[in-house]
Amino acid sequence: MRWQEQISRIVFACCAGLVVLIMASVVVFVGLNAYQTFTVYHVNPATFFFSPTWAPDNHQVGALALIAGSIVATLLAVLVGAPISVGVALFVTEVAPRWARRFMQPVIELLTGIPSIIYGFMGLVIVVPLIAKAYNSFMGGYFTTGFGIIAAAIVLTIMILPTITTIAIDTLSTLPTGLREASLALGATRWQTIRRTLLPAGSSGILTGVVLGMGRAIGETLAVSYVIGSNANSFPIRFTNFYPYVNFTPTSTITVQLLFDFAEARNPSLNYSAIWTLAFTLLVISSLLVGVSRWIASRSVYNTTTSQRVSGSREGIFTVYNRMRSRLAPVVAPLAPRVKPLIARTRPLWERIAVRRAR
Amino acid sequence: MGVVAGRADVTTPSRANKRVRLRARARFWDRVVTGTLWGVAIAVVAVLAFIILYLLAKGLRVLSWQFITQANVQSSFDGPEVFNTFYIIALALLICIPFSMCAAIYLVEYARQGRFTRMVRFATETLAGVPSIILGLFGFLIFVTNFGQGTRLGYSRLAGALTLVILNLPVLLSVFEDALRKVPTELREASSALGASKLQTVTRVLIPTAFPSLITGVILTAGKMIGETAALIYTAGGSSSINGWFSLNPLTAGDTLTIKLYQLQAEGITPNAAQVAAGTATLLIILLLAFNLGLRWAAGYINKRITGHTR
Repeated sequence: MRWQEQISRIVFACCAGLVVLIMASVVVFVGLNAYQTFTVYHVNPATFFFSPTWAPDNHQVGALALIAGSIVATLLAVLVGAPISVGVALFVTEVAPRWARRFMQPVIELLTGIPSIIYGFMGLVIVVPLIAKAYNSFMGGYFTTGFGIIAAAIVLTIMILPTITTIAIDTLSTLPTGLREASLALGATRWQTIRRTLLPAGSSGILTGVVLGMGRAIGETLAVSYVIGSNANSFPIRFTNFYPYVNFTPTSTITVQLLFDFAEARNPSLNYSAIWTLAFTLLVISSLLVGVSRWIASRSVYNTTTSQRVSGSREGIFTVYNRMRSRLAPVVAPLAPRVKPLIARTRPLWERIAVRRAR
Repeated sequence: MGVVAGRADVTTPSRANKRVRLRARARFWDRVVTGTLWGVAIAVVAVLAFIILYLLAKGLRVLSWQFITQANVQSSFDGPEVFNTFYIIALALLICIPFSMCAAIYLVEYARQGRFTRMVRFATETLAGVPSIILGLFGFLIFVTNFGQGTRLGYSRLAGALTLVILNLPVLLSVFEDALRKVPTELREASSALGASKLQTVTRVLIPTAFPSLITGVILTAGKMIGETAALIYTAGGSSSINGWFSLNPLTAGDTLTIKLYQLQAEGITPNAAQVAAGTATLLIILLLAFNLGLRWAAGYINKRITGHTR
């Protein structure tokens, strides 16, 4: 039946087009509302993005502290969470015996599935008191309630763990077996194989996972709202003359402010429009992260699913690491004279033990 | 090294000795790393076990048949929330499955590389990355109110379900797409060779063959929907009526388990809020466990039933 074919084809195409329509309307409608902050209420965009005072009732909308809160919490979570996640992925693909691998699979799935509100609840009853106790007893006095960016970062670390781990496992398990075999045949140990072969080969895939994890962290609302304390005017980072440090007092993030302020905002008001501008900012940031992850994924060498391109130069996590190391060198160098003798002094000790074991 | 002359003779390694040393060092680090990886994995398992056991220990004694089926004025029972959770999920899936199925069929079977296909893929990935709170606000704008003014559907189960549809459309689409792609090309070719049209191939061959993975995808998505909060707070509404909650009217407001947990924390007008919160959280985790473990069982069962018959 010719006409049935035609009609079904059109219906299928329309459904596919629906996704485009939805995405476009999200951008358009959020954007239109966001725009009003600058047109109707005449807020200077520079003030909005670079002033840290958030008091919409006083006609002051500066989102810098909120944006910084989102970014700092995300970065802290990724700094801690990414190595752990990659470690779990390496465990599952390289180290674990069969039973452990089969055990880890549902564990990771369950961690993905736990509702964010449960993570928030656990953060509230476990993490926050723990931070308060640890920090206060360490400093000797009553300094923090435990609510703040650190608690948020800890909760987010656990939340992004399954995201990064899943993608890293996918990446590592689809690497050609020949890579592993070649390295092992040269006499490399498992760790040497991992470090010199598997991680560089899988770097773009792993980095994709890390960026997607960042996307999840920056968009996370409920879990963070439970533990951050939601003080919109407190900057998450303080500076001394020499170094920045993380604030232990309640702060806020974009998502948390969206959640709490939207209930009180009445439609034609600066508060309402400012919330949409915040939402649009978040939309832009998360879309950028998706774009970055796509870009990284498209440069992958060992990606057999999309195409067999080998043209793009591989620039992954290790190049980034090397660059960071060269940047950090001037900072770390003064410490070296103290640390190096320590290593040199202890090295014969553990080497002797190892040599004896090897014989 | 050779500053102390007397000791240098003793410790200077011969070539063979050096090789042994390097090998030993490599082996040492190998062991250290292996141990660390085991430690990391065990720590992750411990975190999960702690969360589950903590919630079970705290909330299990709150749970009772009354707790999950009844409603009262103090909102210390979860009956409406349990009902609404499943109701909203069913409604959302009912709307979401046909659309994402059709879109997936289009992408797998009909689409050619071109601008439209690229646009669909880009939109899917971007939409999947949009934070759920933004989609919640978007749902408020489009479904609950008439672009921010007046009311369209109001705070209602339908508005909540529609927002969930938007949230899960890209997920379900990519799951379906993967499932359809995994169907061997030979089956398509055989079907065409028998004279089947494209539509017939899709409905008679592709969908039945991919059915187990399609079902798995649907259950996974449903499990994700259980935990969704941020998208529902400003669309499904924060409360249920005490008497009329057990109705199938999609236009009544209704809170889910997660929203109730949020309300208990945010407003705290319930007298025994801590207890109810613990019970609700436990209920959520039990649902999650049931969905995930049940999924494994169901997937295996369906797989056996369907592929066992056809092959």
